Amino acid sequence: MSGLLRAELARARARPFVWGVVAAVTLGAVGLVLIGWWDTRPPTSAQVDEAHVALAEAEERWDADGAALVARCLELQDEVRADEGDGVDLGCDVMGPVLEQFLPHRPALADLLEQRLTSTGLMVVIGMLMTGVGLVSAEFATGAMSTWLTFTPRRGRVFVSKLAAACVAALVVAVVPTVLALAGLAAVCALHGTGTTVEAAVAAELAGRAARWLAVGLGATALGVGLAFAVRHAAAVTGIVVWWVAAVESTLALVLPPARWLPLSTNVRAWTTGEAMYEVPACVPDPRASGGEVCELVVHYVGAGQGALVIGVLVALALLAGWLSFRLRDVT
Amino acid sequence: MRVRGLRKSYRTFTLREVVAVDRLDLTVPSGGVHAFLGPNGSGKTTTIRMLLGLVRPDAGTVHLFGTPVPSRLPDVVARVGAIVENPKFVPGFSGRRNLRLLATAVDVPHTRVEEVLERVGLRDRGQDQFRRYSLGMKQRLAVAATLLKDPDLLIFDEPTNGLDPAGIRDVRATMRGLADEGRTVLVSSHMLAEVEQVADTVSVVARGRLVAEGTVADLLGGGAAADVRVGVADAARAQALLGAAGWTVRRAGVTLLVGGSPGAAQVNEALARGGVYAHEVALVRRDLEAAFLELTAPDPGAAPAPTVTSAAGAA
Repeated sequence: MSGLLRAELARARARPFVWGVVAAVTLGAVGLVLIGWWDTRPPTSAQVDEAHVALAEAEERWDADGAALVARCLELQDEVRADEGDGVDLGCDVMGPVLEQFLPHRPALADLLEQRLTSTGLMVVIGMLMTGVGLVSAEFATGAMSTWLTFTPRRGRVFVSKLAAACVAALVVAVVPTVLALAGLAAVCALHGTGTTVEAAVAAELAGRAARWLAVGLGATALGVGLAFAVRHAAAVTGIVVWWVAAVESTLALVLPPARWLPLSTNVRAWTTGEAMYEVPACVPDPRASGGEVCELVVHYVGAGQGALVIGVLVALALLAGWLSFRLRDVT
Repeated sequence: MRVRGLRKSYRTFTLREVVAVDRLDLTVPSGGVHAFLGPNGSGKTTTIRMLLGLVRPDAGTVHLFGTPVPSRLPDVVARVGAIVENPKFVPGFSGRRNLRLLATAVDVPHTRVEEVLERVGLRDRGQDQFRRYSLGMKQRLAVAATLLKDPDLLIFDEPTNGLDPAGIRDVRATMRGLADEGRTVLVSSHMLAEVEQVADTVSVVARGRLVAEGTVADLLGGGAAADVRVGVADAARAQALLGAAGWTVRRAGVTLLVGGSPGAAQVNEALARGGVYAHEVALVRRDLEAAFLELTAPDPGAAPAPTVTSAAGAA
């Protein structure tokens, strides 16, 4: 089995398609870095001049009204403290205008990572799905599968080795762009002086979410492998994905609101952020109007565990379909 | 190899059933080259795919080395090397690296790669990328791949397709050499010359069914008898005499071809009785192409064409 896996990994490494996906996702990561560079760039001299003018105007207004505003703030703070305790601080002592308020916001590295995590995760997941689909469907399309099976006819081993090889190849698709994005954003922040320090707690939280996205990516890879084994053509897999997006992710939520727990978008969000919510209208007959209804939106929550379960079941079903198809159908 | 009652049908998009292989019986004796002959679309490749477990038969049994396949194919696959249609290798890898990849997959030591490259004459070109190989070199690499496991049975599906005469000769020599080492070589082909020159035994299929089986000599002699070529000075008179004797006579330039199962002596005797003396009387041996076309001609009727039993032990 290890020999088979090593051979599969070598074949995966030789496929230009894999490197094409790596390049495409990396290009997306470079785009995120460029946007980060744009967001963190220092203000121009014109922006600084405008900020100074705006600050002067604000200081004039503050000189006139500031004391009253601070007094009102302190009153409000006392009221809140009466209800919620002395720990409440409304920041009444820092209400005066400062220059930074009038300059464009420049996010620090922690902010950038927080902002870019979801988009990077989505890109990586799509890339990993493509890797799984492409590696297997190409084997069928080129006829390499039948050549391979004449050497190793145990289809179970071939299935598992191809799944494992696709997951390893997909890790490259995930790691290269992610590391590049991380390094690029850190470099941008360092270059523009917006702060590269990320608190340990924030870093741990971001790493945890990144790991969950990586798990989603591996699930997407397995999903792609299963679907590709099941239908054997990349175009057919694309058709299934498009159908799922149109039917389940979009239409189902409209025509059958109680089924809003099913779309992958909900479950991925729940898994990666810890929780997702959706609303289902609950309607009862309106006692004041015959034939009418009174509806209220009932909020439902999907926890991370439920999200993982739904994703896992879908991936398992795809793998089962793929395995049965590979086991039972002819290879031509 | 022993195949009995093998059947495979497909459904078209209109759900029409197309029978690719129909109650095929096939016996491949151990050792030597066995040609699996038939026109395009006769079911050769489908049969080979069933032998290798790639296609599931609707009915019938297949035994390799006495082991039923595909159910127990993994038990005997180490003894089988096969090329089905055009073998697929990684284009960007060298021939040597491609073989090492396969060797890794089947747990064969890499030293064996050098041996098989040497065997097919590719050792000096082993470092070249597969995509830069000529068609003949690609086929030789495929043969090398089948030899990695040092198999007892080799199955080649149309190995000379697209090759130039030199390439065909090389493949033919390779097959013969493998058979001379005591291996069994099953080669499917629609190229008759290839079969005639290299095969010890032949199975002919048409429309998915076996229509003849035996040695090449059996096949050549198993159908209609040979013609007799007659050279005479007075061809018209000779034609009349031989026609009167009940044989079919055709003019072929300055000679006559006498058909209808005559013997050379009988023809000569009939001419002499009529006072015509031949300067040439010779049996015209039917070539395999004629036999092949006759056996695989459309609409043969329900009954299979004459089957000549082959030699003993099967692989």
